[in-house]
Amino acid sequence: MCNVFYLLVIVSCVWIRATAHESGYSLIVEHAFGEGEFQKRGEILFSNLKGDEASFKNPVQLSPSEVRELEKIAKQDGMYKIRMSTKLQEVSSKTEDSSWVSTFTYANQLLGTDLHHALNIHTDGLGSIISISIVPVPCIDCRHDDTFDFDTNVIVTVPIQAQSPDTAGFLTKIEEEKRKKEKQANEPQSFFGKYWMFIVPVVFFMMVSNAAQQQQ
Amino acid sequence: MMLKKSAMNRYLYVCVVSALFFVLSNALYVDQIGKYDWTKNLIGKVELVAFDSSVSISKNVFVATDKNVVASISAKNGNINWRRTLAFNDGKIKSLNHVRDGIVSVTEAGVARVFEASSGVTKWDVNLAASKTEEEFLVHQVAVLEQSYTEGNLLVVLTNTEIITASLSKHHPKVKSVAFDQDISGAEYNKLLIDSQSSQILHFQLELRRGISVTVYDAKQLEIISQANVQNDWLATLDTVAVLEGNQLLYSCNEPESEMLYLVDFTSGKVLNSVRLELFDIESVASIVSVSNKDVTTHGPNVLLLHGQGKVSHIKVDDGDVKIGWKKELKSLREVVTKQLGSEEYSFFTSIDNQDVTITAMSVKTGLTDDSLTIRYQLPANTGEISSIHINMFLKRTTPIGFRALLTTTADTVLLVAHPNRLAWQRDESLASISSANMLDLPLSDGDAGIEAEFEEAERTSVPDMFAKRVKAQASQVVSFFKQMAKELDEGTLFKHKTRDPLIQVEGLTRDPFSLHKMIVVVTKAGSLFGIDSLNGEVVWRYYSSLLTDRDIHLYVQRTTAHFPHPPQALILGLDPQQQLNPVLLELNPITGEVEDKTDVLGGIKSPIMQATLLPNPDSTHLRPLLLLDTDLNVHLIPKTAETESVLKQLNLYLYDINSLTGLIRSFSIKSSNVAKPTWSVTVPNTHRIIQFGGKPSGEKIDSLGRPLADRSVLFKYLNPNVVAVLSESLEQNVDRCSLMLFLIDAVTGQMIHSIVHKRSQGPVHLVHSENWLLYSYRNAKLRRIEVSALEMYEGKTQFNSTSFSSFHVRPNPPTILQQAYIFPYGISSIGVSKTEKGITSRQILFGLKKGSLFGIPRKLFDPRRSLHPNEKHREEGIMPYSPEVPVPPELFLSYNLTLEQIDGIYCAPSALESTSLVFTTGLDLFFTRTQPSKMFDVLKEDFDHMFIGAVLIGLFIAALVTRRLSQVKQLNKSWR
Repeated sequence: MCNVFYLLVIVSCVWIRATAHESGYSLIVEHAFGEGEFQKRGEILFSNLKGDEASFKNPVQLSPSEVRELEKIAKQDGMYKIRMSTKLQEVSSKTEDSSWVSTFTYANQLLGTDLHHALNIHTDGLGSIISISIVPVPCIDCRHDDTFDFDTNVIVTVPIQAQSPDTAGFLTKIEEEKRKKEKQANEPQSFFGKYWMFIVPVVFFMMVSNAAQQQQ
Repeated sequence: MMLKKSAMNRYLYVCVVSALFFVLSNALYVDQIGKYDWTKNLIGKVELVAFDSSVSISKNVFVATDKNVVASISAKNGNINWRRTLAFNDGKIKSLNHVRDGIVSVTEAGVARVFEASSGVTKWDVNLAASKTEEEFLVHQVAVLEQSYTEGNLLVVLTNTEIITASLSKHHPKVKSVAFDQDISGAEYNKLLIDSQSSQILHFQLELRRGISVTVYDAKQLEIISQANVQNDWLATLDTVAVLEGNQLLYSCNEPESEMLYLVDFTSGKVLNSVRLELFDIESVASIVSVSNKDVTTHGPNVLLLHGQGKVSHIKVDDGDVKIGWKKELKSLREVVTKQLGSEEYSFFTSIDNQDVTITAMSVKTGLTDDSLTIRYQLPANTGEISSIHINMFLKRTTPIGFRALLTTTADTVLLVAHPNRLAWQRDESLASISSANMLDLPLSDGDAGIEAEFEEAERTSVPDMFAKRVKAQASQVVSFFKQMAKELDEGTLFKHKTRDPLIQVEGLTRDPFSLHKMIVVVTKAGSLFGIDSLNGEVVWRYYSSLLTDRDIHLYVQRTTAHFPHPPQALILGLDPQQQLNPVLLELNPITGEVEDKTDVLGGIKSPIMQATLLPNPDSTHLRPLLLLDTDLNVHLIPKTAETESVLKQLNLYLYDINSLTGLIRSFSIKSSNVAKPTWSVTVPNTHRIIQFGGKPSGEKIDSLGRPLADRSVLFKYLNPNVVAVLSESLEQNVDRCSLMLFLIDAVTGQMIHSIVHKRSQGPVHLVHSENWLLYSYRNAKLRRIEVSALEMYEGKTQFNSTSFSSFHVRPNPPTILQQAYIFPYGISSIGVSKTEKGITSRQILFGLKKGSLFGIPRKLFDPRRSLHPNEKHREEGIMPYSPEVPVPPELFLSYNLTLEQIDGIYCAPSALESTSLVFTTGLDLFFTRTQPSKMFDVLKEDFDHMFIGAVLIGLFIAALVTRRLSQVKQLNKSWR
């Protein structure tokens, strides 16, 4: 839960920033109940083309009939679907784009969290939307009232740069080891440290012979 | 600090030594070679054939295949004498000739090579295209001008822009060329012939509506000697044109009302003679057959005219006169070839009537034949239809000639047939292009099956009945055991090995206790199916259907052999890649190879099939129904019964469909209805294309849910069975801008679990995905090397839900993804992973290397937790320190010193021994072996001294008895005292 809260904080920060300047790129989000037609749900505003920050804008309020429809579908174990277009467009040019990415959740799961959910959007960081997914997140500090309003958090992720073989690190390690070894070899060693392997047997032999003499 | 350092060195040392120990224990002893592994060397679909001797009977056959292989095959038994694989970027092999200098091959891209005929050693090669690109240069025809030994043979190549000659005898061939004024049209409008007597090159070019232009070149200087145009505006094909001796050209006019034969001198273009075909009672000529040799000096004055249905007429040109000779009519005539040897000139007529092939040799001069010159051969079942016939004619003492025929079929089988109907040998070359393989358990022996059957009827019989049955079954097992032993004693085979494999001591196609003996069912791209015995690689059964050619064939094993008395069952689904033709469905018993056509079951399906999958749950007869989803999202079940439908209703099924053309991944939910509903869709960026994907194998056994750490806590694995890895490559091929993306998607919810981008990298990608890890290889374009990336998914130190998994559970944290990359020193053509019965044995990653080996390395080396600077914790867990390069010690080659060319598939199957996994690789060579990734911990070593242990045990037992007696005596004496 702590983590969810943390995410919420981030997203709300993003939201505040996005509202501060209206420029950016927006994508239409549509939703459908069950097998019904897709209808406009709102827009997601990306503050830049890289598309790593986004916020939900212009939400369309659910009409009472839509709320009833949603509840009906929830009873039938039906799906609530969302889709959005894949290419970032400027706010001004609201042309229809035929290619969409879509996602779904079960309507009863969504009602179970009082329509509180997160939209995870995955972009390639270059302006293409790869996937969208909806996760109903239980809301703890939300007000519990009877209004059916979507409470949406938008989380945008981009692919992570892969690790490549760490040759440089390995070479430095080898180099370091080599240097250390050289250092060790060059370090002045005490006489005993250098020739202990000869001294110890001699001492041992002497001790043994001493002990033998004493016994005699 | 110093102490710590030395401790680390010691640790490294221990690591190296243990790795060495591990390595050595995995290697193979010389005497183990061939005991449980076998290879089958193949060459691919035969396309070009050259026989080794033209005069006497040929000992070797030289072939070139679709796999760019040039090989020499023994004509006696069909074994490969030698085999050479040419690089695919040299282009397809266009011609193959056998001459004094060796085997001459020329590829489409203009690479000429000469191989030593006896050993296959490359004598020399030359790129005739020089600096021309693929688009500018295309080889049309090739001929070899055979000259005297001092002059040396000359290779003559006709390309779209020029005629090139290269002398064959020299190691640094002199390449000469003469360019045409303009590029010549397609190969079928050109004919390249040579004249070895006057050392000339003849080029015939048919220009539509203008006639034939004949250019004669001097072979030495490549200067034009003569150029003539034979004017006519109706000739449309070179099939009705024949070149005869004495610079004469004979061609026929098929225009209605003026059916004529013309005889022309092609050096001047002058018409020598013309004859109305009516005079010969011939209507229209389909083709004119002259000697098939490219050398015009072998073309005599005789030709054959083919007209009508199987009608043949002999025409002789005598001093400018065109005369008719004999006439014949042959039933279902397919092909006519004329060959000439010394003074003998024979025509070979091949008639094919269903599976019956009749090849008749006829003297061209007389039109006579006899029984000794006819081969009547019936093609064996399941070998397809004849696709090409290659005749080897040779001189004999008694009858003037003899001949053999090399037949290739649509099932890619090669057969050498001799007079009268003897099959010398047969090779199943479709095995070189296997599209999928399955290793299945063999059926139980009758005795074991009886006990198995008990469980089947357990619900219906009472306990005393069952007890009686069990006693009876086991008594009969004991009886049969003693009978078998008595029989073996009688034959003296009791202590002999039953098979060459020391661990398999059950003969025939019955399951052995360790389940090491399997049936390998393979599906080939040619449309044939094979059942291969895993013990020795022999083909047990084969099936070919012309329905399956050029289709994507999918094999689904619905029921294995584990459910006696129900027979095993598999379905074969043949789909048209273009989705134009109707799908084909066959039912197969994978053990016996019996096939039944079930295509009519698919009758109700109107749209193309998009997805097919076996349901995870079986019905009451242990049959897993096959689910088909068509493009209209209708769901079909095979077999469609009330029970299978109820099986489907119980499931909450999600299917995903990856379209690599559009880059769209869609998912569908099937829930108690016959129509699938779309759920989610994901699309890769439009600058990328999907090149590889991989889900986890279904029903995978996982031995532990987590990894114990040094601090005694557990790192739990993220074991979501619905994770699908999708890899996409950028369309941009530029080294600095290309990239590779990996997406890990939950196939049920469509959630992106993780994604990674590899910059400056590209395909081909090979992938294995299992448990909580993923391993894939790719090419680093910038550094021009192959890299392997390993990825592991962990849930963390606590488990979200330890009893069940659902993709719909909302987890507090996304899984932790660890990733590391390594440099792989060799090119990779395929990746696989070992599989064992319970999954306890550590996994071995199997790499098919481009250099021709199968390399198996413990997965431990691809642990992303390997650290560059290991500390105490790493040491305690046994994680090796990180090194960027994957070591490739030769001891870890599963294929020891064998060369396995073009490995394109690695299939693994578990055996009943936990330590052992069976490995089967496909490609140009088939290879079967077994591997023990954690050594052979559950079987005694072969050199285990049973006698010694037994003797010691018995000795100790006797000693104990004796001492007991002695001590008793002593005790007694003591008491008396």
